Amino acid sequence: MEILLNGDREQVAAGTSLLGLLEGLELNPEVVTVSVNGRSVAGQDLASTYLQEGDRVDVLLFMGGGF
Amino acid sequence: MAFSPEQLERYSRHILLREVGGKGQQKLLQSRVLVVGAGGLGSPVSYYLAAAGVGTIGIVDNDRVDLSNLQRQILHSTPEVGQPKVESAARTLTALNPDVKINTYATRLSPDNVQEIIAGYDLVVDGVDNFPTRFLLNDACVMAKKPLVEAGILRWDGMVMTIQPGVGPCYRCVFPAPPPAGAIPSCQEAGVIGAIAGVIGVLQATEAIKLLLGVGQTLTGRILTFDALATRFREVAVKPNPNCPVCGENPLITELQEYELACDIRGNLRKD
Ligand SMILES: [Zn+2]
Repeated sequence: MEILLNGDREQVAAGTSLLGLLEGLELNPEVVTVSVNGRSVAGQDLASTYLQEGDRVDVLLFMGGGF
Repeated sequence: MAFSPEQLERYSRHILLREVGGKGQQKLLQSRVLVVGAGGLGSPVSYYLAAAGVGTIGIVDNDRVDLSNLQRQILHSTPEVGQPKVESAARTLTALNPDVKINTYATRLSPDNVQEIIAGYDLVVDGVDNFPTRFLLNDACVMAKKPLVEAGILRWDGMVMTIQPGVGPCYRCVFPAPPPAGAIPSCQEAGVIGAIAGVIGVLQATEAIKLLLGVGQTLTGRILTFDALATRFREVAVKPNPNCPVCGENPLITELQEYELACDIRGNLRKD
């Protein structure tokens, strides 16, 4: 199925969780926040939240620096 | 209050704009903005706000100028290495525009002083270099209903969002809690392209000026990210989070709290 990942169309297998998506992207879940259709998903819910066809998923990096 | 001939000339390119005009320029001259951090972001932010004639600018920073700052912190120059950043900042900004009153706070924001400091300003711009202060500032601004222009930079990336408490989401609506200590390279070891601080800081200054003038559409409910390697901006729409610990329906945070300052890098962005 197709989702919109960071603004780009992306094919993912049905039944993929957000945690699975991050693992596929080789991203450490501790350093990002994931927003699905404009709502941010809590870290403890990443494994139990499954992607739906057409979801708009944005992965935002924590950026703490004003340096 | 009438403009002096010098002011008419200095601000003529503002006054020419329909959205600013003489009225808007007067508004800017009477505005008060607090810039937290006189570093990479705080430099371009306060530089442009001073140039724009924002009448009172508060600068909070507890550090001294280090030679390694000068790759990006354009408020400070080589002879000022070793000087307190707030003093160096005040000299630079006053030289640029003597119209502007600079209030300096050579201190670190803490739950004990943040409310008192932000109370005297119309809006706050976040240019801090660490997560604990970032979350503290968000919480304090939400509680005081003070607009906050939030931004962060790291390596080749940056992000900006404008927080108008009660109108749109806050920082915690998107990032509910600080990352685990040490998971994020948030200090000097991580590296950053100096010009990114300029790109993102100037966006913050633009947002601040729009908020003060009450014109246009701000980045309220939108996060703008910038990937400098790809030269790509991306906009992420974000909604207020009903479970937000500070501005949600049942806020868990009703008192300001301070997090541990963790600067060491143990984790990494990508799992190696
Ligand atoms: Zn919130």
